[in-house]
Amino acid sequence: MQREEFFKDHDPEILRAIEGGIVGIAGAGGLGSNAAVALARAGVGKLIIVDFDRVSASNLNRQYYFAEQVGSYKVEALKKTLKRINPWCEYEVYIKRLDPVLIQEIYEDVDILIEAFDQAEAKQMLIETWDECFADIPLIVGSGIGGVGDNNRLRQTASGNLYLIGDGVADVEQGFKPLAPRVTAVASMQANLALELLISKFNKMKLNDLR
Amino acid sequence: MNNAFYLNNRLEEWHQEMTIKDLIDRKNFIFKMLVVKIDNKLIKKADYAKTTIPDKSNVQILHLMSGG
Repeated sequence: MQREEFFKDHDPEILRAIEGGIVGIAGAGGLGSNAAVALARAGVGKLIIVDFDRVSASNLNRQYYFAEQVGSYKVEALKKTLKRINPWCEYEVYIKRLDPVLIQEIYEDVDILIEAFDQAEAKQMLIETWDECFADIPLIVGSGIGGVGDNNRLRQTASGNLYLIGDGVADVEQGFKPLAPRVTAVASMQANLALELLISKFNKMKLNDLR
Repeated sequence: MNNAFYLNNRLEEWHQEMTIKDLIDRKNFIFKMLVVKIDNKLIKKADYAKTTIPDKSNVQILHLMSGG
């Protein structure tokens, strides 16, 4: 298989806009693993994925892992899967627990960051760190992914460069268990917005070149 | 507009010395993690109790939910 064959059905304009893009993904659980697969299929040039955890059997109901990967580090398992899907993009992974210092070091060159942590406290830490260090770079946070159904409640709320995606209601800590359809729906919305932002950034750069 | 501010695009009566923490308590935001912005500037959780809401400001409070 050649690269040209892989991208034969792609919109060439879109591919041009995203093939040089770098998207960071903080966390490789239900949101992060599914968003990564969507972005690799779409052809984003480089993904930088960080997670400290290993795959467990209970992850398989919603996260993009396989039974034989139980026990492996998530980012290592995910990198193998991404390469099997699209070997022409770059995947940089780290087995680390992100803190404010690491966030600044690892994600300083990204065009966009997708937040895919599990705990609300960690989401808050990331939002506060991002606001201090990289306020000009879009941050796409998942919030409210548990339960089933209620498609019309899944939505995107923007506040400057901060975007929240989810239903804004279903807190996993309050008993809404996460299941594949809704988790992957939110992950896909995060990936979809990331593409949109990459394309608009590329078009702005092109406009500036013409001036 | 006199002595008022916006909370999530709805007009609210403004009181002097009202902090973000007062507003969160009064409005019953039940989730422990929130995103709070005043005029698009992020307010850190550690600063909720010492940040007063300016008259005629635009306050945004969003729920932050666990699960990922």
